[in-house]
Amino acid sequence: MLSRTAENLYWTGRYIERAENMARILDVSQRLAVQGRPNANDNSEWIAVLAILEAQGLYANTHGDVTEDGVIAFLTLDRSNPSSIWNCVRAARENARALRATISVELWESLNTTWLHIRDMDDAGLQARGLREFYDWVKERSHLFRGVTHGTMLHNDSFGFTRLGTFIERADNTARLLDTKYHLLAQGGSDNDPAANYYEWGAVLRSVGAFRAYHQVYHDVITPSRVAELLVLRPEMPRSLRFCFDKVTEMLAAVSDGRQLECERLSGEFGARLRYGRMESILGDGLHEFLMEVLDRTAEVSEQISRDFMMSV
Amino acid sequence: MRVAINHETIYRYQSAANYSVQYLRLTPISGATQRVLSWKLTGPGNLRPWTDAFGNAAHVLVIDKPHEEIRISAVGEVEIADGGKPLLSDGEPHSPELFLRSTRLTECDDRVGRFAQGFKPAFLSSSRKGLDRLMQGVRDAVDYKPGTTHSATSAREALDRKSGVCQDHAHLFVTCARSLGVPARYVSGYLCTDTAGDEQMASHAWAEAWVEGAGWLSYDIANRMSNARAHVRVAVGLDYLDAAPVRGIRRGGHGEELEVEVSVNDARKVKPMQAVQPQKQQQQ
Amino acid sequence: MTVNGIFDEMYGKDGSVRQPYDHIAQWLGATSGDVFANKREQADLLFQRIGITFAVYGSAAGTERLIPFDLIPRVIAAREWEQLQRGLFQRVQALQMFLADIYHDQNIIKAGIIPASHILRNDLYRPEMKGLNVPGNVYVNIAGIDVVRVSEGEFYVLEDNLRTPSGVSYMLEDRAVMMRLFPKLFSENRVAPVDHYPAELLRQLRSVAPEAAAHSPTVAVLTPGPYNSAYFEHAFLAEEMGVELVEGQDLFVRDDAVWMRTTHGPRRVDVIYRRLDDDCMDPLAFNPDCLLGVPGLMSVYRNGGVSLANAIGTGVADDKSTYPYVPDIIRFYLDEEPLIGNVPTFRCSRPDDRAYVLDNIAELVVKETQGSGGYGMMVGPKATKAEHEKFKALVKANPDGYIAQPTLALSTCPTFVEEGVAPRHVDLRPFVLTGRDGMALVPGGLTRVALTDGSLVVNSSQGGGTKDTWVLEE
Repeated sequence: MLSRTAENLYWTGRYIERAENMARILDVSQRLAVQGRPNANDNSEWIAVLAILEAQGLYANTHGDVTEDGVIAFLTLDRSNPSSIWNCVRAARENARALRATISVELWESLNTTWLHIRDMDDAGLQARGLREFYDWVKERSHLFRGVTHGTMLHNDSFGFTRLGTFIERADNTARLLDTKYHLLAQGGSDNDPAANYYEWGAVLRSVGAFRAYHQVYHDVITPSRVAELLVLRPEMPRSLRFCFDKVTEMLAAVSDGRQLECERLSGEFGARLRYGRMESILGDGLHEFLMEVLDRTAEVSEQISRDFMMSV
Repeated sequence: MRVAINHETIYRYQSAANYSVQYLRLTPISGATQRVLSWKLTGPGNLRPWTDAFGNAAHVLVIDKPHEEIRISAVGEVEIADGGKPLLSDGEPHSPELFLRSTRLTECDDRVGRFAQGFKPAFLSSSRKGLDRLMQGVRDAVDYKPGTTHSATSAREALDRKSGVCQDHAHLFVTCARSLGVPARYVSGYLCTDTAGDEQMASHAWAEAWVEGAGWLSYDIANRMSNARAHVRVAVGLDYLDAAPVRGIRRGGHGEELEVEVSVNDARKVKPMQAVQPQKQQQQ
Repeated sequence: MTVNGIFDEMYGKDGSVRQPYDHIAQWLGATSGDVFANKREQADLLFQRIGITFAVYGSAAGTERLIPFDLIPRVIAAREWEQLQRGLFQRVQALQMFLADIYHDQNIIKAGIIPASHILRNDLYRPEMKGLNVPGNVYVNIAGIDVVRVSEGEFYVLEDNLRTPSGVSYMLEDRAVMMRLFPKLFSENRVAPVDHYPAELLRQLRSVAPEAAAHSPTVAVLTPGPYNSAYFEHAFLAEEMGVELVEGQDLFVRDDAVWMRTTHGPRRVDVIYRRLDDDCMDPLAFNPDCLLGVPGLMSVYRNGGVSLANAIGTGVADDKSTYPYVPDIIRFYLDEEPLIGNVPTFRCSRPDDRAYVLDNIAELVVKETQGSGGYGMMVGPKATKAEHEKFKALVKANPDGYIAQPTLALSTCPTFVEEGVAPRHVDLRPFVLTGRDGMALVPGGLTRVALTDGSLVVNSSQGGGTKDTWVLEE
């Protein structure tokens, strides 16, 4: 297919996933803020969110001091923040619009409807509706997008590039989400603080829809290291880094059509580390460092995808 | 008169360009007015010859990998025929009447039209007289002043500004000639000047007008000279855009810097002179 | 040509149903108004879903609307079609030869049939084409010839469209919708099929690939993009032909060839079906401000590395100022009399014609040359005194810029209107395809209908509608 088409499909996938994950990050931060934590000042949650999204500078320019309301506004409906939920939905729809001749009517309509709904929303409207309800709605629309994609798109390269976008973005966002929380929470707690763990790490699990999944896998109390393992190494957890990289490598093999491309090699190489890694070593060497590496690898694979498929001159 | 030319064009970019394509009109052809003894055009990437709409010997240069510099060089020797022979239109792709058309850069609006009408009496007497008067009149109306116009300046704008370079003189001249029913065209090439042993070479622009019975006569408006005798013709067209030495587009490549050097090609490389506005590349 | 009576395609001259419309008349009589109203709604829904919308000039930015579709087909008998086809083929063939001639030896100018200035000073004549040999000498791969009927066997060509003629997607979608809504109608009438148009188009396009192209040449459709009013058609044809729909940014030149950027690396394109104006095709050769095309394209084209359908520079042959010369063009190249004539035309550039036009402007249709879509136009009998004066002044100021024609009594066809079924004026745009091996014409075309009572303006951009066009098989 045309490089431009692949690029549009890839970014449509990425932007919807980003919108969903932004909603998840906000969700978990709010849950934790509501619960309150010992040794934490009011803003640390939100400062950490901005840090992990590398958006402190942009926030400071447009909103000034870090406050809960400010950060929420910044990440949900701020028209000037390229990564706000509003802009992610807009960008996804714009990419899809260029694809109208290629994608199914249902897929277009699902994205267009999502857009029309959020287009004129403002902070007052958001508060009136309720933040939780809004986050749920964003997640729902993202599920719908994936469902319509899976259900109506031919499972050929179009599907492949869209899914690539979804999983690259998910790997990146999961690493960020885990890093924010582990960093913060690990300061105050440890595996030996069951009460704190239950509420705080429980909040993290709920925000990625994995509270029950955790218990199905571990049949035991919640501990930070096991939450980390679930989100990093478990192959059956659809939000884990392992799962994401497996999918990326799989999709790359499919769209490469037999050519041995560098992007597939890079993805496979890192995927092998996830496949054969052990959580104890990762934690021993430092989870934060590891997650930073994940971000680098993900960016590297994405750039290589661009080079291998979309920039043929 | 034999001249030796060295023409270097260098584009530099602060951030790499990914892809660039240029039309080059840097190759003179032998004809009634000149004989090309040797000529070599070199450039990076893919350089392919083609003949353009006006019969010019053009090249297309494509660079399809990241690059921060484009260096094009045209080097050679040309023997200019004595006496400035006029060109006939045999063997040319188009009949002179084509050169009555106007283009965006050579559009004759009311103001230019009125200016041109001032020369009509001279033309009624004879075409040549009219063209000579026109040449002087255009040169009088437009001072030679580099930096006040650019490569996209139209004839009308040059007349308004009252200043420009040879490109503007040529545009205004052809616009006026055409409005008076005389086919005229833009010529791009080199001018060799020799002032008391100080030999210089420059990119230059002048015009040719068609006179029934005589052929294409040359008019170097900037230098008030008819019958070009120290000029190397490289390309012709309706206006600058048709005959530009380099015209291109690039993808990426911010912060473009352009360096052009035209010189006499031997050890006596004296001060190079740059009279034509070299064109910055369009960014896509 | 009859000017007094208006010829109705269903009821003819004496009010009795003409034979080709026998079944239609019965169908109209036997079907209730409610059923038709129902089907009309269904048709609208179908068109909406297909997305065959059209951006209307002058309306609020981005407004898309449907072009009204009328349920009553326009029917042409087999022998009438055959007559039309012969005339169309003759005309298109002569125009191809004309283009080949003016871009090479210019014999028609030397013979004094057309003045040199008319060609050489016309901006649509492109110097880039001089001396260039195009494959098969085919300049116009797709021609949309607008034809009107005035009486039983009398057809006239109203206008030639040889640059980027559009509307064929309506021909195809109208048929698809009719077949869905009234399948029985098609079993009762033997209507010649039209859905092979895309396949035929593809065949013709491939036939003009450059010699050097591999035995299976690659064709692509070049579109200005989704903001173009005819984008639906570009996407539709690309999909029906099974070829890529590309925009300028998807293509690049290198090594005397044009390539597409694909996920499998660069893929060579041999034939470009371009729906871009000449001026936008190559910013390095034409308008530098239009970036919809491919920089460097002309160098490849002149070196024979790619074929363009239609070729660059065909506009000089369909310009309104060239139209009056077409009968002479046919005579000059084919040594035949035109089988379908021109509408009588007065050239304002000629003093006698101009005088007549100024005196009789209230009865004439005045058209601007080098315009399109009916805007630079005045229909005398329908215009106000002020408009007459305005156009008189325009003609005086720029006589070369105008031609005038008597108002034709275009044939009418029964059409659903507010009051029921009533006659409305129609024209026809058949699409003539030309390839290396000859010409092809799919039986049918786009019938445009002027929906306002008495209106002669059928252009969709100004409120016209379309009908399914039937050519009955013998």
